[in-house]
Amino acid sequence: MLSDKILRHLREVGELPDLSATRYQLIREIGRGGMGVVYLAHDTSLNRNVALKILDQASEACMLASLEHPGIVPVYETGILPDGRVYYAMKFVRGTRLDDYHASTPSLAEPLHTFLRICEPVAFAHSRGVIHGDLKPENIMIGAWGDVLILDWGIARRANVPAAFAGGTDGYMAPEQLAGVTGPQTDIYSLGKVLEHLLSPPDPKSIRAIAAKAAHPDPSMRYAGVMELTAEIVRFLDGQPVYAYQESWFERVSRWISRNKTLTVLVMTYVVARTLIFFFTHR
Amino acid sequence: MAFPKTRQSAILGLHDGDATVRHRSMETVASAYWEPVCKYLRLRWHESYEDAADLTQAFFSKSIESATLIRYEPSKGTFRTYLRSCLDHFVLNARKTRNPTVPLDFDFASQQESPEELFHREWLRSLFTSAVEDLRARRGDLRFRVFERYDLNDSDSRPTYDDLAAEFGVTTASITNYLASMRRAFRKAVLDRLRDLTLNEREFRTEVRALFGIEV
Repeated sequence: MLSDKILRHLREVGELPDLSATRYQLIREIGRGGMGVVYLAHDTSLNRNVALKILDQASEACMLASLEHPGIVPVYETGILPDGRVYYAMKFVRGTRLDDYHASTPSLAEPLHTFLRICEPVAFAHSRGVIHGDLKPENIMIGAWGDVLILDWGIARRANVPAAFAGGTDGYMAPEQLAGVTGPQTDIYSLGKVLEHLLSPPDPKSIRAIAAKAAHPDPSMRYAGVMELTAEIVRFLDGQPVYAYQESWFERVSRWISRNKTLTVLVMTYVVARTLIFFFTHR
Repeated sequence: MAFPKTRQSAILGLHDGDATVRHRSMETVASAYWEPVCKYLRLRWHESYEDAADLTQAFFSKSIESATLIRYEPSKGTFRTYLRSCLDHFVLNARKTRNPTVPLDFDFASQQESPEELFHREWLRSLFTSAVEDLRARRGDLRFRVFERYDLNDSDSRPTYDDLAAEFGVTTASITNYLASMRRAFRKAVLDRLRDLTLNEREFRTEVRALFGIEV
């Protein structure tokens, strides 16, 4: 009889993909995501390491191969394993996952610029009619130079194609995804949650309001597209009012002062100087 | 991969009109479930080793005699679950006619897992052991010895591929290839056994997914 230890080992090796008919050699498992397992493998022909994803169907690889963008991990090759499963080799991305990423400065500008770079490939995919469906910090990789790559397009699908299971991850998945609905609005919800993840209190109410509007439970109350969301972020970074938040007059003045510091200092200096002059000349 | 028509499921064979097929099917089922049933009886019903072995024998004899297992309906769950519930009924009836002694062994009493988990684990052990024995009988060559030395190694540290290459006088690449081929053969042997022990393709696929996380 086999021991428990051997049983565990045999289950593990039984699950491993059989790559004997491919040019890849398995190194180790590096992750499990939407609809598949990802392994680090060595491409013996080109002498480089690749990320190898094993899937039950080829649709993800075909969809991903059609998206050429610096923020979307490129697909090198697809094929079929002896057991009928589909694999695709893609660039092995080195970097830090967004859930492990910490901004190098306490400034709010750095995480917001990172967020804008996250939005770019998502907007590009939407423009090609593809919805990611599972945007979350674990699926976003930050490279050494601040470059952003969106990973795991395992449950990506064409926009507005209903499905029994629309995937997603609790905490980042739009409520309508539970009913099998996916569209640009579901990714915008997830982006709102990713933005919340990047923020750390105390943050201005206006940026919180942008995240809350993006992740509104009602899809019709969210931003109409990723570009509208990024435009709001840019307005915030430029010190302009944002549509998601109705400012009080005090906040409006504070924002104006913060945006026009030099002018404010000059005006204040002038007012103080005139007051002092007035005070001394009328003694 | 379609459910093979040429390979008769042993569960299906329990229904066969031919007594020889029925008998052979029951033998297949009994050999796969003997150990799981025996150990389940010890943990769930606190039977001593000897009583558990006797009860296991009696359970399978009674199942053949009264055709209990033939009444399995896949819509109500897996065959494994059905067999366990038949076993529980059998033990309850058996205990009405004798004193329910409770000589619980220490090693079983201290187990953290539930009787159901133990039953599943022992079923898995029985399945894998028979697959390994199939391989040993069919492939007792160098490849099997490498597989045995590496994948069936129970020591705390496995040898490296380089160690194995030196030990068997082949290249490290050959070790990689031997292991890949033996693991493929092992998986096929397990799937063949599993086909025997499932009623239909749906149940078979569900079991394979649960076992290896793969689709067939």
